[in-house]
Amino acid sequence: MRVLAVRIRALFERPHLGSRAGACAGCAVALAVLCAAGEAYLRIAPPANLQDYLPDSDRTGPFAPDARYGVRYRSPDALQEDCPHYAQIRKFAELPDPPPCWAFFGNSFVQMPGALADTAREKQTRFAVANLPRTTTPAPIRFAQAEMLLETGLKPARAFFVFIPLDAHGFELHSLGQKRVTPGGALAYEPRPPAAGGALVRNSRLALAGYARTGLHHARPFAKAGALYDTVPESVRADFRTMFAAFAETAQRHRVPVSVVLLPSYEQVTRTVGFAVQDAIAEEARAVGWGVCDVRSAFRAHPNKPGLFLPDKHFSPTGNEVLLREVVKHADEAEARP
Amino acid sequence: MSFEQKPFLILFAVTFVAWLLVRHRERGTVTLLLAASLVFYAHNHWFLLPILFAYCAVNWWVAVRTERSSRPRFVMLLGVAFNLLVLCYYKYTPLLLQTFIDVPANAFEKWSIPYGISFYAFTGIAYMVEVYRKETTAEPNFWRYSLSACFFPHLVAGPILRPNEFLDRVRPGALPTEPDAPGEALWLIARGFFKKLVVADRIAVTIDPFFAHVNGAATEGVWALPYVWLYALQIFFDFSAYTDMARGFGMLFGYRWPENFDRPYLAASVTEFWRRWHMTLSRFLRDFLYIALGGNRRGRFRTHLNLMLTMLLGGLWHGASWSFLVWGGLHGTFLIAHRIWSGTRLARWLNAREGIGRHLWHAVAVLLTFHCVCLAWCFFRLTAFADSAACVRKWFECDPAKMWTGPWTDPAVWLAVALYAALAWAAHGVKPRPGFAHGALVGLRWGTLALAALLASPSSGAFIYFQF
Repeated sequence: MRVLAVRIRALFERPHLGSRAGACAGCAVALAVLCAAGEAYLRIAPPANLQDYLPDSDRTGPFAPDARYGVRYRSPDALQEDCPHYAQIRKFAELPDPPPCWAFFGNSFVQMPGALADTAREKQTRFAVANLPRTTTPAPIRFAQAEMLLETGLKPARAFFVFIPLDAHGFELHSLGQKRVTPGGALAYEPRPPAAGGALVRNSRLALAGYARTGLHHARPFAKAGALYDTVPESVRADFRTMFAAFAETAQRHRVPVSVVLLPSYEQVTRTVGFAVQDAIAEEARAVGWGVCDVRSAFRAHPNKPGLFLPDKHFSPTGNEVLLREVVKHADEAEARP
Repeated sequence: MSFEQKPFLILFAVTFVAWLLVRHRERGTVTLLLAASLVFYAHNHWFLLPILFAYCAVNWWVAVRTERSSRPRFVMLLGVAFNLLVLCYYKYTPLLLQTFIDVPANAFEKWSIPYGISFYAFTGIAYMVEVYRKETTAEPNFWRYSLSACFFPHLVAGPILRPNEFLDRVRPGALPTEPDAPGEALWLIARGFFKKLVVADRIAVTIDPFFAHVNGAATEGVWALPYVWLYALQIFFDFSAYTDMARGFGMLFGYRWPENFDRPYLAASVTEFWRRWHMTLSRFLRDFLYIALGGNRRGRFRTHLNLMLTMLLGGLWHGASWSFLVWGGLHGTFLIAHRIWSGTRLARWLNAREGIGRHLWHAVAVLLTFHCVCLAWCFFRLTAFADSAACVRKWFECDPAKMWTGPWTDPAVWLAVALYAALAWAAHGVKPRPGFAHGALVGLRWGTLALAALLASPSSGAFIYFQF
């Protein structure tokens, strides 16, 4: 070991190389060695944020690739593993004469304790409530959940897909087309191809890490979530259109009416920012014949707007009650229509 | 603001470029660096500026008065009392009220301790005492003194500087006009970023869940020792990263500050550990507390008592929790035990060994010291006594089936440590000679900086010592 160390030091100290050429060579050698070390490190132990962009990694999960949503659940067992609450819904669906129920699909505004699903369970008695809590639920996974529930026997009186403006931003980061599934079933993403050096990014993890650090790997690089209040890019609308069209076909087959519930953000309720994102999603939902429950007016007309939100900008119990009231009103109106 | 955050990098770049333009004009340099330091400190915390200003004003005035007063000791003690009282008010009010009066725990949820107060209070005390002892002269210019107290690289987490290490370099005619060894400075900064972003933050992701549930069912049967080893590494990499960056940034402005760490976990005794760990704090405690208490001049019992008092107060300096007192108490006990042990015939015999016996004994001593330090870290990391006790219990009680599994076996962590060790070894080994070696050093420094950015852990937490 000591001999090796002496040899390596001697290599660095070789005096016969010309000063400038030698310095360049030394710099190049050092950088090459460091790149090799970094590459080896990322091959052996890539950090979690890089693993998201390695569709061939050995991470495991419950998904299978799907042409319509990017991902779907591999099987009912996989859904059960991912969302333990699924067992209760299956039991409910297998009842000989199950009571009418509403199925809610959404992110934490629906799923977290005390949010819309729990409020609906507590504050209204006409419908049972089915929902599948999960740590994070990107929009395509909600449709994958819904499809698996319908295919395995649940027949809700209405399915509600709840969206917040940030859901649309998710498609600016990773479009439907970028979604991939690892061989083991975990969700991954194909980075947006770079303008130059695509082969390098595909073959070198160090280059991929550098590319991912720049933000250029996103579907819409450097897109700001706040900009969606004013304009919604066509690529984002197209992703909603694709998902809605795909699920509309499934819902029609199972004769389940669908509504989208469009929630306003804290900024939209308390400040004067636009509603372009809700308008765009509503337009795409109406195009496939779904109901639209847009609760912006009820929230903006509320006398205590800040009181509708918790400090973390989720809805407060009051906010959830206002939301539920609007959902019930929307469902009643939808039922009354011929 | 923290060194690894984008706002700091922008502030530093702007300040450095401006400094290159004004460095030959002393007034401009002092104004620029002081303004940058205030922006650094007050970024998102403007309400803290009056406290910093008060410290500067009082310490400057006290030092000047100490030099001129007929009762210098009284004036100096007033200044020291001010520094300590404000420090104690912010750090210990919640602890004392919760301990001695029945105040609900959530009453102090919004209580915030000014960043770096422990560091700039100690720097101020050192200055006033040295002026009183006539080891340095008081700086008559308020702005120059304020710059020495507030200069952003060392403001929040040290190193704790003595007047001859920094204040003397901002006096008239002494302000540097050139960076001091920019290549070395770049290496210190690159090394600091690598230690923090790649090693310390990666370790944090691995061990935080264990420590969060150390006293719960989730960690039942889990072997705690590897997590404590990793915490020992984390705190070393995290804190030494800050010091490296602080020294590197200081050198770019022409100031060279002392080392704060010297491979502390290779110490063969806890006494030696404190000569290698947070060296500027150890030096402060020795010179202004231990020696002031009488040091080792008043017999064995007083020496041991002074050691224990110094370490207990050193523990309390770290934070407002009784567990820091236990941490200090443990170190005090180890130091006393080492003094007693060193006087025994067996210790002298072991230390006199030659050859393999000497190496073997040294290895045992290093391992024993490291585990003593790790034992104390349990009380430093976990501020609830029940959690610390559970952690120590789990050193010895564990399910053999769970011993070699779990997050601590993640190769990413150990590889990150190994990669840093290789980089440090390479940088240490290459002599800065013209030609190939010079180029290699340049490549190594810039490459390490780039590698730190590329391999950074996805989540970066604040520096551990920011809370002190």
